[in-house]
Amino acid sequence: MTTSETPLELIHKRDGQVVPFEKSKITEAIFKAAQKVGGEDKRLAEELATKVVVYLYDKFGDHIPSVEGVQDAVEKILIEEGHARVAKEYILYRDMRSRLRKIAPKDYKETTDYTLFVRSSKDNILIWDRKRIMDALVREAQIQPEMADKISQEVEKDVREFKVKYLTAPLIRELVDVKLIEHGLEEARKSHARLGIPLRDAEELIIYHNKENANIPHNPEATNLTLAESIKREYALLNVFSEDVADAHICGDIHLHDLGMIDRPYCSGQNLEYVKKFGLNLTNSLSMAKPAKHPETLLAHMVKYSASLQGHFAGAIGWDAVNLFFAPFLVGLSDKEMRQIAQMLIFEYSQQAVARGGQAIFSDINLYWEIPKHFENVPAIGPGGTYTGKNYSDYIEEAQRFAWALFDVYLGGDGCGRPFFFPKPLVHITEKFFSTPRHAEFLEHICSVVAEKGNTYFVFDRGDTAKISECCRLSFKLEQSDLDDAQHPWKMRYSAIQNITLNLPRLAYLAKSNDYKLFKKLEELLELAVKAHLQKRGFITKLLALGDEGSLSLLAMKSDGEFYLRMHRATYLIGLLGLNEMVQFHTGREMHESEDSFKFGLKTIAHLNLLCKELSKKYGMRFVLEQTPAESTAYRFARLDVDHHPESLQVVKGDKESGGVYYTNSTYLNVGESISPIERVKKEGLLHNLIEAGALTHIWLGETKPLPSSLASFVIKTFRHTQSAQIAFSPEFTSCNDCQRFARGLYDKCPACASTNVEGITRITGYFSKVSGWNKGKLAELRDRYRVRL
Amino acid sequence: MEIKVFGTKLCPSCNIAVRRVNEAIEKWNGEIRVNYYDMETVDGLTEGALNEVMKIPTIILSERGRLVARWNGEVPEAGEFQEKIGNPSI
Repeated sequence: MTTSETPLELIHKRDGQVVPFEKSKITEAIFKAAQKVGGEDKRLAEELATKVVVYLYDKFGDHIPSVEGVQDAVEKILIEEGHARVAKEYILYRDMRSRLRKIAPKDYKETTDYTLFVRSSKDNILIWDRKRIMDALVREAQIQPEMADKISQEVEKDVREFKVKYLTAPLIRELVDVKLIEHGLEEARKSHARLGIPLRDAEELIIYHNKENANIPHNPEATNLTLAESIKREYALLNVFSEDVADAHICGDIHLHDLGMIDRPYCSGQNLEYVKKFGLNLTNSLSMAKPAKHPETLLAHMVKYSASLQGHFAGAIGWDAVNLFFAPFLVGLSDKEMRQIAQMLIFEYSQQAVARGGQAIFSDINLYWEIPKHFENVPAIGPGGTYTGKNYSDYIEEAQRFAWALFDVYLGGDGCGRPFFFPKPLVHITEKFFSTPRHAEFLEHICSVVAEKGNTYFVFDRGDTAKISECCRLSFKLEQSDLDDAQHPWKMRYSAIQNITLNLPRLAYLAKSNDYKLFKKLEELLELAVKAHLQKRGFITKLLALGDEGSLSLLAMKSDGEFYLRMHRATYLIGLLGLNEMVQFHTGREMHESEDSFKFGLKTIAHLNLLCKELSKKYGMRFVLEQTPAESTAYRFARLDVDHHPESLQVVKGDKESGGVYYTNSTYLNVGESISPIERVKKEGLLHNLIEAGALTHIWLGETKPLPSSLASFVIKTFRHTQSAQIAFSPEFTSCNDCQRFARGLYDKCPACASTNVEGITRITGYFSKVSGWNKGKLAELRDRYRVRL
Repeated sequence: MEIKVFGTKLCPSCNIAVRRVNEAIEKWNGEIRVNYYDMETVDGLTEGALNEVMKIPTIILSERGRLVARWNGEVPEAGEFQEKIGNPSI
């Protein structure tokens, strides 16, 4: 005997037909009604549907129930179970449908002899039926059936009069939308809107290169990404954010980053222990892998998991202390074997341009020469996901050999000797680093990588602070609760949910040199950004609540008892842009030009820092300042301000004639000024302590190749005598597509074979990329950058 | 001589630091300028960032812009502090 899910098998439809009974339809109807009053619990909807079925079975026994009978039962159960608000929505909906049925034409062919065919959006051709318009208006825009009837008749009349030959569903929707506006139903028009892009824009994208993000190549997958993003961006602005927030973004008061990825958190930092302990069990894949037993397998798990996470986050995927957590798998490996693993790791990441949108995974690997204090006495997980019986401090030799081998690979570069773009290596410099044997040799080794290829980032954790860095410069200072989590490193998963950047220079234009006004406006803008963060948090929470059935099921998995995405530990970023131009307009001098101007910049950031703390307390969320990478925002804000605030021409940087304008990134000093590198690091560093989500100073090397020893002493000086949180040195390269040779510096022609088929390579913001992919603003900045000699 | 003290209102050590400084400069009859910076105010935090204050309380002693002594995250012993600021000339 088989047990079916429901004892009811059939149902009488209104038109007399008898069709199979589907419980899921009841669940859906209850869930939809619940969603209208803010409900998010699909399981509860399912439980209620089960109660409805049981009730129907008791009542009807073997008789076949009618649709009306089932609907009565749903109402009854909802009320009895204490869901009065949901019941009300359900009754309203039922009433609407019933009125709709009464008014709607039964069969279009009976009412007219003129037959129209509509090309629907679902790849089929349908006979014109204005009932569909009515349905959509009632369902999507909550228009009263009588009004829906009226509009559908008007549209039908127009279509007939215009003698439209090529009738498509999108066209009909546009006509309906016009009618909605004519009837003063603008809000309804929004709910009924169709998202998409004009034909010419689509063609442009499919054929030519989108340059908004230099990490997006040009290929069919990338085009898919861009097209999908354009729809999600519109969706976000219409449906996730309130109108004031959306407008503030559109006019450039703020920038909501990665709107096209509205259904994902921003970026993510994690720990290899998660993969080592739980294996790889991706929610949408067909097989489950047990914890790895071999280093190659662990590596494969790590890379695949990164690719999967890239599909669930908008930005960077970071891994903490990679060399250390790999170490238990590397015991007894020869130098050659060790090098092979290192090479595989770097090539796997740098060539993963096959994942989302043909984009390489924006990946960061954090590396330590010492055993970080908070991991010293943590029991090590080894092959097969079991404890090895040793602590991590016992694996210092393997961890160091692996770190060394990784930098050997960076030093060699790719098959043509070019620098690897990803994964970005971040080396943490701490007090303990300097008391660890052979640190000087290691520092020289990683500095030789800087001299040759530029890859290494230096992250400074002074005093007792420990940090994990992930995005371009995003880092998290570990608090006591994190240090407790360090005993179970797989718990150390951090995410920023969204990044919102403030257009600082514009505030100065509005404040007209009045300090009070400027700070007041700053406060208002920050509050608006916080409002936007609350809205995004609400949206992500809703997606997570759908659990296994939701689009974020990967982040809702509970291998260790809590969601992979730990919302309670999440941060909400407030990005900064154009502090220098704000100060310049407000005080008459750029930040490097006078002590008072610099101090005013510092004061602005101090003010924001304190406001963020206050707002964090108020909302129980973590709002922290970040230096926005802003590879497109610096250009976008400047362009918008030049168009709408002509006074911006006094401070905007770049080439105003050609439109290649930009604002100085985040809180940097003017990139074109000939400030000595240590002075720049020191001055910019004074701001770093106030920017808690991380900050960075760039040192543009151009074509010069400093000695590794000078770089090393510069790094030590930075650690000892400045407050800088992070530095990176950026050389420039020209790579020839014809002779495959590779030269230092940026040239129009290959220095070796004189071909003009060359590609410039340097850091755009927090990562290396090909100059040909840069936007106009960034190209202008590149021309201005002051290259230093060390 | 100029003294800068960085702290917050609610941190006990900061309050002790302020008391120590006040006791030590009493006999100087206002000849030593002391500035207190509350790190929870905009101006205090700004000055703190400019002076690279990482821990509170921090006390900075300077003479015509030149650093004489500095205590980061600690309160100096009364004797030690007294020694650094010296005695007023008669």
